[in-house]
Amino acid sequence: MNENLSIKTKNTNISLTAYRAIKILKLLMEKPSTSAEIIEVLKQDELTKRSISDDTLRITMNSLKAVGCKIARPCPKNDYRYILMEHPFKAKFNSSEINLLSQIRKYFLDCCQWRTVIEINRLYDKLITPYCDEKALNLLNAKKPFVKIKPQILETFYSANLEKKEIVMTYATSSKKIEKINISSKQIFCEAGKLYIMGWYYKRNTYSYFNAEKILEIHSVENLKEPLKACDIKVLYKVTGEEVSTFVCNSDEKILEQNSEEILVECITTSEFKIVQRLLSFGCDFELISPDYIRQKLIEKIAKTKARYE
Amino acid sequence: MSYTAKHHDSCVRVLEFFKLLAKEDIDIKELDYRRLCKFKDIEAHETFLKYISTLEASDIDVKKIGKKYSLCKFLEEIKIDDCEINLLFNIYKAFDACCVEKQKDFLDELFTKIEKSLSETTKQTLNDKINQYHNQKHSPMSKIASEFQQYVDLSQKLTITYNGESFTATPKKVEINGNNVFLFVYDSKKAENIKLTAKNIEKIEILPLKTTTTNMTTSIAFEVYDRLAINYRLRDCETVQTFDENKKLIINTGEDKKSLFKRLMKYGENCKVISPKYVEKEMLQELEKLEKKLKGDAE
Repeated sequence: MNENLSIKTKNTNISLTAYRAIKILKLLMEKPSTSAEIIEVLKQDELTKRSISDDTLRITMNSLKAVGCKIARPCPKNDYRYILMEHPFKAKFNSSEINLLSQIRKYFLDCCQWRTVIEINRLYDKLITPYCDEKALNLLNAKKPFVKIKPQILETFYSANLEKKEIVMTYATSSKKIEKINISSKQIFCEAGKLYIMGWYYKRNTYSYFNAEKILEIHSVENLKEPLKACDIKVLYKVTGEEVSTFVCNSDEKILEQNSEEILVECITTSEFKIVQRLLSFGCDFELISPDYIRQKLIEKIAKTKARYE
Repeated sequence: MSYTAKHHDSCVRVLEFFKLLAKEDIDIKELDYRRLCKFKDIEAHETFLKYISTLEASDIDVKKIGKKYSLCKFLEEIKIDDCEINLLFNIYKAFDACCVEKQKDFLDELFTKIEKSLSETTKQTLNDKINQYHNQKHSPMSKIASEFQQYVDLSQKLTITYNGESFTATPKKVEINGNNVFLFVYDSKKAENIKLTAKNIEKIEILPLKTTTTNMTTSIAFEVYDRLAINYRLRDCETVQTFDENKKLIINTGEDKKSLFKRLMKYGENCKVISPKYVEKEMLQELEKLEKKLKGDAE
């Protein structure tokens, strides 16, 4: 960061009218005040040291309004107080700054750090949103992650530990069907900008993924009564070619061996679909070692994809 | 400016100056002094010193950073707790690690602006953390990224040897992601943007040819179907044309073709490249190559 050079000037020649206006502005920022209260504060001030007339006060208020302050006039409704509604001396974030702030949030979203993304959303609401004009605000909120998730659901995700729990919730299983369902959650994760619970779905007797956007209500969260079903698939594969230099391990993966030519990876997952997708995302730059039925799944998937082109 | 209500001219001028300072840092030599003051016969520098003195007398400190005057603090102070300070620091650290020199200056400016709303203690704590971080880091990635950024700034064509092959390309941008530095280039022969991994770049030669500002990048159109059509997250370089709920046409302009192919392969039968025809053919060839490889591995 730049080292700042203070320029506290020795010039004592100041504009007393402006000094008075800023004094009033600061007072109104603290609380709405009557004319008498404002005049009393100015009377006590070391620099102004004297009382001012109601006319001078009105002219000072006009000066503040002239630069863009919105001040409500004293009237019986507000107990004859001046109320500061808005002032133009706030920080303002421009489009380039908003773009950088959005980029920062996207970085954490791409890294799947969903808790940090929720924290960043809150921090922006506190530090940035109040200082944006409408255009900047729209830009900041255009790609705000997790906005489609109900606020109380998002709060539960953040504050309660939902991993390895028995959860009863109301879930939109399809666009037309809403059901109350029971699951045993295994993992909470974020993928492609969306938040999911992965867990055992009792109704279907399988592991499933539940999109947080489709959770309408969480009725109960309790500790697991029995251990999670073991449906893990252990997949061994090698990453080759260009992928070697850019490979990033997922949370369910472990690097067993690595050299400049290839990386041997072990993945323990509950989802066939996810591992097939993961392997296909390497294009031709991988070798599947085991299990063989995943190879068949891959071949089937490629055949179906090829059929689209025929 | 014309004000209808009676007001103090000198007061309005100081407040206008304060408003400008709140908006951005000011180089008073570049400031349209006459517009602000509406007078021609006042000694500008003296007057500004008077304005600054007035602000400082009102406990609004002003600093001079280089040639520019800058507010030390905004009027409103925002209280943030230790967790939020740590979050701000983590944001700074993460982004600093993955951005190039130009963006870093901008990041510093943005943080300086945010800090103006914080209390002195909070600001100090955050700055101490940032300074400590800068003293500790020795990132070789930053060096490579800065070198690449120089190529981009030079705006000259390059001959790049990448994975044993040489080609001429225009450097476009640099990105750091995780432990990797990427150089994005435009290959005019193929009319394609290509993403190059720093580790695989063997040699770069600068050619005495200026790059042109406009590049004709091939747009790739693909369709997504069913659940993918509903849930598809549009990338920055993409536009969408929706036919119905279960089918969307996506136009992708500028993404590295190899990366795009791998991403589309992941979607399986829920995705099909539509145009251009030669890209559609290439995608099919990729699928056949992988199928052959998987069948071969099995034998």
